[in-house]
Amino acid sequence: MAAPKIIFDEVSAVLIGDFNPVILHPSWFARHNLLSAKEADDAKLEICFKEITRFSLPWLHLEATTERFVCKSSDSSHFNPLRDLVIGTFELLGHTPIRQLGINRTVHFDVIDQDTWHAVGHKLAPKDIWKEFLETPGLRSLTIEGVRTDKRKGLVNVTVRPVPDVDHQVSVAVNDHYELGAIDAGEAISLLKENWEVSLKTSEKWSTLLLERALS
Amino acid sequence: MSTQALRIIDTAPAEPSQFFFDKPPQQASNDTSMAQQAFFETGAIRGIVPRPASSSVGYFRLLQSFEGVVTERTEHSIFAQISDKTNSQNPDEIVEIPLEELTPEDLPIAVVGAIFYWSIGYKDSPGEPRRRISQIRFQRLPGWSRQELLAAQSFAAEYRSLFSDI
Repeated sequence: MAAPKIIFDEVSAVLIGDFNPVILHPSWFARHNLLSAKEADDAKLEICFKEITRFSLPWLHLEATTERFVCKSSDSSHFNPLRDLVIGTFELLGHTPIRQLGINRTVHFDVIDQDTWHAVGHKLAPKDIWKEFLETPGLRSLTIEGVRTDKRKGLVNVTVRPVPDVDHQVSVAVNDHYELGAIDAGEAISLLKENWEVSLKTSEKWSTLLLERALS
Repeated sequence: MSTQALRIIDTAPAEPSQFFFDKPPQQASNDTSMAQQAFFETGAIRGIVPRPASSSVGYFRLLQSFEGVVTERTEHSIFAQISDKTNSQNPDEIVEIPLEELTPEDLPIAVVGAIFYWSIGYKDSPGEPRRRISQIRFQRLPGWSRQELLAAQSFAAEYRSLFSDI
């Protein structure tokens, strides 16, 4: 059996708190040296309003609402710059209350053929029980939650699902979730500085390991 | 050939699964039922799951990445100490990088003490040949704010006073 091949790798930082989207215009990031002036000029700005801001660069997609701030990148050469952007943003906006932080990674694997693809679904979610009352059951999405092992508040979710509209691809998403004190942005910044690289290495390792186990 | 048959052929392979979810399995046409049956029986469902992300942008397969600190800048190049982030067992190295290797926008911030990320890998994009990419990007963080500078000065003054009393 050929080894599954990674064909997509996306990382995101998701912050839940109270935000002011309208100030998060690309030019604001350039003014504070978080993006170059050229990047800000070239940014594809979809909307910048008091309820929501959304723009993208070749390596970055940023969306902020009044309750949620999401930065993501599918360019692995920019995973650390993504972290820097989030840290820099909330060092500047240090009084922003942030209640939750997610360091997330989604990896898509091409498992080469349809039989192997089905085998992943079978191994992770055997269909015997379901066939008693469902006709032709299939795995759409499976999320397993685990407790944190670092004594911080939060949890870890791993979600497996087929990649929509594409043949024999499997998506594995790891959500490294933290519950924060929400006094300001300080705790989120510290966590991003201390845990970002470790979290991403762990999620990459888990994704690959999970698929290997599912195919063994 | 009937219109229905033409429609199915023209829209394959995306149409069958979409078509399938619009109707109960027993109403699916003969042309698509085999594939759908196998799909449902043995694996997973597509089409109505929210798309988590698009893989059409391609994938950068990172072969090696370094984090560097600029130790010297000359007229034509920078010298930097780099650490291997893909294999931390490797010792740090000192390298010279010509300025023309840097993105023009990064030149003003490529000064002594600046941190950069150097990534080497393959970029695979749909419909394009594989490209080998070596990319340097300097870390961008906000500068010290006036408030932070004042706090640092105050802190330094406090210590100066403390030690001058000894």
